[in-house]
Parts: sequence; C-alpha cells; structure tokens
Amino acid sequence: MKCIKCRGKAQIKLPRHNARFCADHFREFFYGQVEKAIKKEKMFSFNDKILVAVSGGKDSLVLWEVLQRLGYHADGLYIDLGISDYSLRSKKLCEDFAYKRSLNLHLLSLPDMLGMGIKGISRKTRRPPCSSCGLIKRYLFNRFSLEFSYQVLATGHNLDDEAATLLGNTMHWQTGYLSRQSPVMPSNHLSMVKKVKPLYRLTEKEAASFAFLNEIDYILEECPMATGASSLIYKNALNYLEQNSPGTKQQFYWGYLKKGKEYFSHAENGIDLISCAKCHQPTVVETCAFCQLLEKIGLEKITLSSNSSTI
Amino acid sequence: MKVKLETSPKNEYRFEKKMKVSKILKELQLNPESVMVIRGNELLSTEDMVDRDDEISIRSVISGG
Repeated sequence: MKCIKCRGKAQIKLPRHNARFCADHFREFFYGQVEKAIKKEKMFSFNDKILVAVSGGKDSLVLWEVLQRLGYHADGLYIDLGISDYSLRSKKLCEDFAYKRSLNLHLLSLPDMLGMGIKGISRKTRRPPCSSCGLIKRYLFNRFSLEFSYQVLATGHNLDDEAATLLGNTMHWQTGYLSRQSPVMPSNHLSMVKKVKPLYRLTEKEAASFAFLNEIDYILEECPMATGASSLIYKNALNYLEQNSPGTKQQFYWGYLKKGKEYFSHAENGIDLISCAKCHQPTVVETCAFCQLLEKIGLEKITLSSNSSTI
Repeated sequence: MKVKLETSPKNEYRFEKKMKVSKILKELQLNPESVMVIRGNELLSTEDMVDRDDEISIRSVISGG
C-alpha cells in the first residue's frame, strides 16, 4: 500500500478520505486538519493565551503537542481527581510530557482542595462519579482560565467524541444540549471563558496514530470510574457503521453542524446566565452547582493556586 | 506469529501462518476503526501482511467516560 503523496510505504489508511499516508504525510494531514479547524471556526489567534485541559490521555496530549508545534502559546492544566494509581500515573505522564518539551503545566488536586477524591465526593453528594467529575472539571477549568488570564480553554474532544455525544443527545432528544453542541463555545457571560475543540475534524484512531508516530506516551487504560459508560457504547455503534460505510461519523457530526443545528436554536432561548451568589461563576440558579456540591461535602469555598510545574 | 492484544481484556494469540491484518482482525472479531496494529515502531494498515515469525500488538484507540 503506497502513500498517495510520495508513493512511499503507507502506514495509515483513511477510508473516509479515500487516502493512504506514510508517517510524514500523515503528520502533515493531521496538522492541516487542526489548522483548518482553528481557522474555519475562528478558535483563537497567535496572540491568545491558550489553556489546554490535559488528562494524560492521548487526545489532550496530542492537542498540546500540535498547538505548541504550530507556534501557539499553550499551557496545560492537569486536575488530580484522586483516583488512586490511575491519577498518579496520568499525572506523571503529563509532567513528563511537559518536562521533555519545556512547557508550562499547572496542577490542581481535588484531595488537596476538597479533602477527598471523586469517589468520596460521589459518595457524599450521591451523584454518579462521572457526573461529579464532569461538573468539577468544567467549573475548575473555567475558573482557572479566568483567574490566570487565559483567553481560551482548549479540550481534546475528537470527531468520535462529538459524534457519540450527538448520537446520545439525539437518542434522548436533549434539545438544550443539541443546541449547544459545537466545536466552539463562545463566552456568553463575563465569567465564562471561550471553549474550543481543535481536534473535532480528526477521529480517535487518527489521534492515537499521531500519538504513536510522535512517541507521545499516554495512559492506555480506561478510567476505572468510566466502566460501562454509555459514550463507549455509542462509539462502538458508530464504528460499526463507519466500518461498513466510511465517512458516517464525519457526515453525522459535520452535517449536524451545517444543516441540523439551526433547528434546535430555539431550545437555548430564554436561558439567562447569572453570577453565582457565592463564587460569581456563571449559573442559572442563585447558587451554582459547584457551590452546592461544596456545601454537601462541608466546605464553604475554595481558592485556586497553581502548583505549577513550570520548566 | 504472536499477537498481543492490549485491548480489554488483555490476551495473547498465536497464528501459524502468514496473514493479512484485515484477516487477523476478523479472526479476533475486532473493528479496524477501534484499534491500531503495531509492529515494532511502525503502524500496520488492514492491507499489510504479517509474517509467521512476526510479533504484533493490537491496541484499543477508544477512550471516554
């Protein structure tokens, strides 16, 4: 099998693009897709200070690698969720990644800030672990970005993540979520940072292939709390369709952005964001969900200070 | 050939003949969209042949909660 660019030996076959690439031309393709996403969706410029939410997984580390190679000012933020050995290993991978490339990595720790990890929080608040985790991460990434003067928060969501979310939201007719799903979430409140997903044009397999070819070490195991997550079921279903009809995931998600999203715009109307009475972060009720969570675990408020591993 | 499965559950298989990657994945009931096939420091596509003496790893690419 030959690379369609140089006729050298191809390592990657991309049926959805009817393309085959050698390692070098696959890298070129990958960088090109990220650049296209950034420009097409007006995500950020070279003057912006970008915070990358890193987890130790392939997508976030690949995103950080690509952004710094393209010349953007991108720092990382890792949140230690206190999930025993899994958190220790994923944190070490982020630290090693940053150290090798002389990048600035900020560290926050739930056990340090809240006195417990996700498991304890989940038990105390009677919320499922993934729900607590999502709420806490969204809050901390947003608040940290603002307090440390980042203009944009970038996450490693890829095409598979977005297509699986779209499938889940469609199956349950979550019209509010459908109206908001986008590669760019603009700031619509004084205390809300702009959020972007520069990998939305690339599949999970392409991100994993890029990580392998660029020798990016990432955590291979799944989060122990995510076992049986519905997103994994949706991803497998979509990959079954993709195998039989290449391009399905891309047509589903990109097609939704182009032709479907407008039909759900009304679902967003009428929701006014206000400032939380306690922390001033955006919320739709008087006290935001994060401050309510703090109350349940017996805390009044938290202060953010980066335990930065700046090189 | 030796096939190390890095997906969950981890496992190891042996095939006694030269085979195409697509055939190996079919035998193991794996979707090419959900895995990467690795030989040494190179990635293999579904069209590549794997020799009887080769050792390959198959790694899941799916993550998320």
